[in-house]
Amino acid sequence: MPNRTKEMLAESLMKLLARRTLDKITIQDIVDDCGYNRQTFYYHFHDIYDLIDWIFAAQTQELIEKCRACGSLDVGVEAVIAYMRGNRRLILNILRSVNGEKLLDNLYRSAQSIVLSALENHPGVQELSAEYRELVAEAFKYALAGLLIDWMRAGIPEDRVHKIHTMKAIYIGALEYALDTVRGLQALNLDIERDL
Amino acid sequence: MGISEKIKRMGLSKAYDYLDKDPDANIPKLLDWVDKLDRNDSLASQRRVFHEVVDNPDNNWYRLIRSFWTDIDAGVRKALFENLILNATLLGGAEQARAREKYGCNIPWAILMDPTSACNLHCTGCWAAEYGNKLNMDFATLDSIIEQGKALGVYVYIYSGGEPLVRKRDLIALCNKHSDCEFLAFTNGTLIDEEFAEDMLRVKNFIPAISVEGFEEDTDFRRGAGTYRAVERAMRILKEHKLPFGLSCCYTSKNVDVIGSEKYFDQMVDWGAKFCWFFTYMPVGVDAVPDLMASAQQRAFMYQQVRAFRKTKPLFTLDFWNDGEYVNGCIAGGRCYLHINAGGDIEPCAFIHYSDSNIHEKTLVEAFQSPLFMAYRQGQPFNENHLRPCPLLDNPDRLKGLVEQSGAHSTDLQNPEDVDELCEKCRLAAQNWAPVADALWAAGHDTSNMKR
Repeated sequence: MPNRTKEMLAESLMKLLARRTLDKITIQDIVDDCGYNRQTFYYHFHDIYDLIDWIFAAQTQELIEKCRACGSLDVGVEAVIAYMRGNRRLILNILRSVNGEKLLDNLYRSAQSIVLSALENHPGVQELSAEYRELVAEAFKYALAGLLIDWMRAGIPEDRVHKIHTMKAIYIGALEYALDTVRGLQALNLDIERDL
Repeated sequence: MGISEKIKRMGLSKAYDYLDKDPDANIPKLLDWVDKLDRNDSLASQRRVFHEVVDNPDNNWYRLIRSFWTDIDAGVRKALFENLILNATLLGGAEQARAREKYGCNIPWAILMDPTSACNLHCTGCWAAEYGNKLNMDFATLDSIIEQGKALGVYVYIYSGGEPLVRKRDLIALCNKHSDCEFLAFTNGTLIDEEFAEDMLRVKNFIPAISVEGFEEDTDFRRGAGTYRAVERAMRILKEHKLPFGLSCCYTSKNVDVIGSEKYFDQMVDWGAKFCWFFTYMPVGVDAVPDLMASAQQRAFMYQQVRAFRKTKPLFTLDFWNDGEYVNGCIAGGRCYLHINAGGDIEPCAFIHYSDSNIHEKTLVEAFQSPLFMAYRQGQPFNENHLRPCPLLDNPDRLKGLVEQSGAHSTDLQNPEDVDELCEKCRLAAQNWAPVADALWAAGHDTSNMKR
């Protein structure tokens, strides 16, 4: 029941974000939309950014489950691309508000956990230590989040979709190479901090 | 908050993180930080006391401080440090001083307010019990008080009532919204359950002060059968969740021997309480029971016991009527605190139900500048002997003067009480206490510079 309340608040905020920037949305607007009062909002969330973080975490979690289930990073990144195209206004209305850039920190953090979850069931990854898995995830976090953030800052233009897909394909191909590389490093039993 | 305050805040916040890693080694170092920060020596006496504590690890106060690292959740501990020490005292103190200067009136350190007059218990002699179960300040009003308070540098909000936890969801919402403030509540404890403890852990800035009147017999005598067990259960839940809590004890002619006993102090420490606030019974309200008032001898007994146990027990105690010497007498009327009842009446003190201002009609600053609070400001301290601080209990003519001079009206929500009649109820107690208090004061202080 309390989680349902959070979802209702989230849905209202997303509905409003499809129409105007985050700066122009008040807590009152959100609760008016879903028929709650302000204290219900504040019972669950510290402020509007806290709600954004919650929505972001929930959607990240969904993607993580999806990637983990199919063991494919490609599927995960495709899902993000599709989400961005489908929710262009909403994303830009967050990004183009005063604290919008704060969202990008979240994006980096989410990207890492999404890559990690995709690797979990990826063929040939089981033999890698957690340390090496995280290194690979971190490397691909920069690549993928960087690609998508640039696209966001440019306004998620449709005419760049082809380029995004091509670059994504480059990264997915490079993943196998990266995994080979760390398997080799692991076999040599190198100390990551000392020797690399 | 100005730029330099922000920098101080950041520095101290970092200092805390450092302290948190190895409290035994770093608590003394934190004190050095405070020494450096307090350039104008406004905390000199407090710092001296802290040094005595920190330089001896077996000291009861050191054990109390140390227990925050064993008994209390790390996030809650950090919020307590940031909100109570940084925001409310070190940084808020400077903001309060500026506001005092700017507006020419008292600006408090804390605001006491009643979210509701409703209570689930009906204790003998409690003014809240006599209020009837009708009045509430809504979320928007409480929120507005806090917003106004923060603009003046006030970061501590204390709930009384009524039973504040009747409104627990709203209280959690206010904690969550104002995460830079520390919230305390006087509560009978009976509404503290697992779910509420989880909420407290989530918001991190809510501390209950549970009312207990001694052991089972005395507590249940005043609060009703079964209350003591309910209170013990609440304390168990809080302890299990690593949440800090304190106690609030009202000593009366009937329970003072128990409340002041070593056995009871040990029990409070055993329960896991970190602090205890003592109140003497006040005959406020037309249905009050003056027989419950502590005699002069009983009050002197509490004076001695509280001071003796401060040297040995790991428990932070305040005895509001006997500790005036640490705070220059009466703290009410917005000097350090004030009270807003569930009807919105802005009163000088939880025990002084007279007012000339209502929060639904005036801003906080307007109320502080109104005649009643200004009369308090001009009149304080009400006695040069700070063991006789109260304008009602110790100096009843002073309250009459304050009320008459300001034209304040009775705000008793049930039966308006004439100030003359109220003061008469305290006259004998004041007369009896005066020679005892003067002897205690003379024994404990150099009276030659009392004027200062």
